[in-house]
Amino acid sequence: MKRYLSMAVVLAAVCLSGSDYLINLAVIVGLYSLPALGLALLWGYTGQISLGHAAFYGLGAYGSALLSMRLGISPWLSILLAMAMVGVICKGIGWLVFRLHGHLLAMATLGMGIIVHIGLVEMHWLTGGPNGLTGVPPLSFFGWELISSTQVLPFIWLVCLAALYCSENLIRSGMGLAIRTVGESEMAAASLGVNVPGLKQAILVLSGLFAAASGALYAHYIGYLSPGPFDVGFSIKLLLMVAIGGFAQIWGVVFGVLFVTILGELLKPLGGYDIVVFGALLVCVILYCPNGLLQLAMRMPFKKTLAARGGES
Amino acid sequence: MQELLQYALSGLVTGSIYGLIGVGFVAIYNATGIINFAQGDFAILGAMLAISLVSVAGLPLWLAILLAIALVGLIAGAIERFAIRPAGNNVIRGIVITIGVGIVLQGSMAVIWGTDAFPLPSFSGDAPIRLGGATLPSQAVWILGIAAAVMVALNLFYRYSYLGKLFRASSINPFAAKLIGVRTNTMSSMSFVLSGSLGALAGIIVAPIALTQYNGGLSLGIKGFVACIIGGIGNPVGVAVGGLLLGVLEAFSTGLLSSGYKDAIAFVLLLAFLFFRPEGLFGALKSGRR
Amino acid sequence: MSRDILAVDNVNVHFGGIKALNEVSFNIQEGELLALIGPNGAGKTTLLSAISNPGLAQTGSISFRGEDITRLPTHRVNRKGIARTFQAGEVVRSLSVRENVMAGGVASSELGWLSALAHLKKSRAILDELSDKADELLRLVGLHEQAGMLAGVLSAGQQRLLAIARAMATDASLLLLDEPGAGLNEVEKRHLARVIQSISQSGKTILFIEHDMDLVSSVARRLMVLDRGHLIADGRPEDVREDPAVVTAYLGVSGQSDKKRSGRSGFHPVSGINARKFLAIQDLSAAYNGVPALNQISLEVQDGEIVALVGANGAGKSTLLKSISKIVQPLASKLDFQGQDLRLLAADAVVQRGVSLVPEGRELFAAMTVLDNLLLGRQPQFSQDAWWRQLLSGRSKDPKLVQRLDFVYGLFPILRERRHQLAGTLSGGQAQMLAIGRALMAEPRLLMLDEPSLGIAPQIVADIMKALVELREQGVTILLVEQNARAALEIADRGYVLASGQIMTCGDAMTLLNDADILQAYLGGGDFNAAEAPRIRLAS
Repeated sequence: MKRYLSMAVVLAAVCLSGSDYLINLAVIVGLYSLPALGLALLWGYTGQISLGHAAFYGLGAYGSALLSMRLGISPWLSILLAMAMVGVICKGIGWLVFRLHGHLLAMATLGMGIIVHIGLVEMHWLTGGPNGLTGVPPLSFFGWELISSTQVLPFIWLVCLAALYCSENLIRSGMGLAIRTVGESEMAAASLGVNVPGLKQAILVLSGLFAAASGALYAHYIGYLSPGPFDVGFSIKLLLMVAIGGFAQIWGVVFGVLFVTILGELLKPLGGYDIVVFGALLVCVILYCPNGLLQLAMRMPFKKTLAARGGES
Repeated sequence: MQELLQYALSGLVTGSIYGLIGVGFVAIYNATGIINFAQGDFAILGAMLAISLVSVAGLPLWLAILLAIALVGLIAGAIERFAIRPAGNNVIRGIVITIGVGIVLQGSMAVIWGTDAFPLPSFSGDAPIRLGGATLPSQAVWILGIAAAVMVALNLFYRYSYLGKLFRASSINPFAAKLIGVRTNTMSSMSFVLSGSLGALAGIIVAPIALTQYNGGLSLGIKGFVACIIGGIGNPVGVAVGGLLLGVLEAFSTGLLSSGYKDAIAFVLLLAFLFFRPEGLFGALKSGRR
Repeated sequence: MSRDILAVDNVNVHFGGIKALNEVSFNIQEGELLALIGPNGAGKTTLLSAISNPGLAQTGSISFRGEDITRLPTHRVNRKGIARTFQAGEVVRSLSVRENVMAGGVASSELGWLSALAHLKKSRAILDELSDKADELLRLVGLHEQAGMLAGVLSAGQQRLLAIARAMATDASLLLLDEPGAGLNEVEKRHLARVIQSISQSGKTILFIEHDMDLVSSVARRLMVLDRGHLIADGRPEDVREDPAVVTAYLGVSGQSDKKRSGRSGFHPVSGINARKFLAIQDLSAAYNGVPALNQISLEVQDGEIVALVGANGAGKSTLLKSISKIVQPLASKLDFQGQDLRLLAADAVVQRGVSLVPEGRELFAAMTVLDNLLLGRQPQFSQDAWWRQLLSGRSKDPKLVQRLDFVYGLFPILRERRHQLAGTLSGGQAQMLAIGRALMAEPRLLMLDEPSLGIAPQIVADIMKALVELREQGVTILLVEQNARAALEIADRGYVLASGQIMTCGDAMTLLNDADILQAYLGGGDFNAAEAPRIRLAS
């Protein structure tokens, strides 16, 4: 509970500060934390690598934009519909893809991510092609249109905090124990009665819902979409965020997102070359800090999991 | 009819490049169980180095090519030594590390060479060649010829050379290789050097007809991987066939449909094989490090 | 009245051409406590896997409490009431001990996704329930003090106990335990025996695989013996131990039909400074796959001897050979070969020094020809060659190679006949000959063989043993690990008997062969106690 309150306080302070830079940063961190959280659940906890997560983000964005534009429905509704659509897609993908493991799984997810990206670029008639879509309707709250960062921030973070809350609950619950057992040894989990394929699919659906929600919010906040941000590069950035945050951490993910975002800002003078640093960082983190930078910074030994009786840690 | 021949021939040309890249994947996979996501970047790096050695250092083409291949081989060996070997046996870690390495290579190339696309001079001039009504750049003959020669050489290597047999043996049964006194680290290093050199060669011979750009590596690498999956990753000949198949299918789709979906063909094939026939047409897939 | 809890009927399991289980049929009654034993490769783990994952069985049927479960996936089988543990423990290292056990109970709880995500009261209540139950089970297996620790810090033996508690958390009524005692010391094994007995007393049915005969004897009321996929005995421990088929399966068949033992009989070890210490090992301890396998072993091999290492599986014989080859890194106060300290050497350097290992399971390069396999055996010599020579030449015309090839073909003529055949297509006996031939190509001074007779017809075993004797005449020293004690001791000069990672007894091969104590070392029973067995130490 404390964490959520302090987060709310920090966000309030950011809003009141009036600093555009800080507010925008907070919005971006809130947006990216959702797909990163989903990936952490899928990869860090359940042990399934996904190199195509940007696809779910993009599908959510385009899905919600198109639904609200073509069908004229309220953006809130189109967000929910887009989420549902991506959820169904994830169920189908999970059924196909989770019979693979290791690098085959990695390649399959990479392939899927790229196919979606190509689809977004090529299907001009639907997505507007490389130029994308403009005129995506903004969200509105009791008649007020939410356009500026300050206006959108509370809603984005509401969704983000809700996702964090659900994820924490999930991991702390009995289900979380089953998930971690699957991540460590699918064989053992099956022998304990866990429906392993079903569980993996369910986690994929959940992470797809998170990513789609975020993508949709992004679409209605920015107001226009192009396929650019939904490519492999973003999928890899997500990997990095999860790795730095410590793989199997919930709040650590937020730290990872913050770190990578700020690092990206600092590296802006390098232009597109910030990617070199990201790549090197990814390699180093995997090799030397398997528990993420946060753990290293706090000099903690591998964090013990939260107490079995659901107390605060 | 002429058009079909045109598509088929140009498909074979690009397909042989994919096959070469794919064989590079096989070398590393057999020795370490890792899929090297940076394989395509080796190709681009080789081409970039060759281009610079020719245009900046003014070296004759043949020397630039040899040097570039050797340099990339060395860099690949260094990557194995410092980034791959410390990761130990964990396959997923290895994969993510090669992704990171690929990004670093790509980004470094952008820093050094910028984001423009560069050409390499054709090996034997620009006069196109006519073949049964189809037109091909003269470089195409070089590509087909060199790729075929490399395949043959590799085959001979694995079959008749003692070192080649050692390579094969180490990948067939690493435990037995240890028993007869082989150092697995040495095998790993050599496979990366071989793989880097093959990749660089592939990138160089295609550079005259395809502009080389710092971010071409990912696409090339994935196509090479698709060749492996189609052919079956244990089998270099299968991989070559897989590459040719992919190239021809791509060429036909570009000609008959639209060019934008060209890349999608590779991925659709990839997914189809992964889901329904992961061992490929010819091979038996080994699952990860033994 | 007890009734059948499990009925296995004519189950066959194939793995790529090998029949792992062959027409296996048996019934288990509710509440029974039985052990499954058998030599290496008999198919014991496969049988457990087939029960918990019946999809493995190609033919036959398995019923649980009268219900056919043959088509069910693993997790559904568990829901019906069957749980198993694995040889490797497979605990989640990053969770605490208690949480691991709780994880076992999740599937049988009524936790749904919604309540988990929303942290509804139900989710909390279930978590509390799981925690209480976990504490109870941990007390049962004796791990309640470690409940809050990360599972990763437990010893291998403790992790096995944890796995048992976890399996019990699934509320299963039939427990299948795969080598729960591997790697445990005497005290821990006695504790394990008590745990198994108390679980049985609480009404569960238990089937466990074990190699330690003492443990088995003290706990099991029924013994099933598997040999090469066949169920060859099933009954009370006392009866099974006397069963001649069982004795043969364990102690082996004579390698020489009616021939008298040839060679040096009555070989007396030379003691004192006259003994040429070829291979000297002192206080060697080693673990394999995290499990302690050898405990302060000391032994010697002299130049020109054949030494046999016999004992039941799980005794550590393989690990000993692997430790000498440095495939496994042991701790020892002495590990010398011809005066050189092997402790700091890497595996390839040991091969260079003249120690070759023919591993269990042959480990050939199956997709390469017989000739290529033999060629590669010469790696220690060829690796000294110039790199360009290795690259450009096949080395097959090298005169020394040809000479050595002739020697090997002389020993095993069939290899010359089949030299262009792929190694993977050879029969078992031929493959074994090739494996030995390959090791011989390196001109080793010490040849170590790990279970060469495994899975091979008796006549071929005789041929191979004859070849080993021939090799000794040529000056090759041989260290022979065999489960087939008879065949091994018949050609050996001296023998060591291992059990549970320690040397039970050693001495002249002929003496050991006729010693009834060996039988006990393999099959347990009576008052045979590992700690009290007489030990004959060679004068050093």
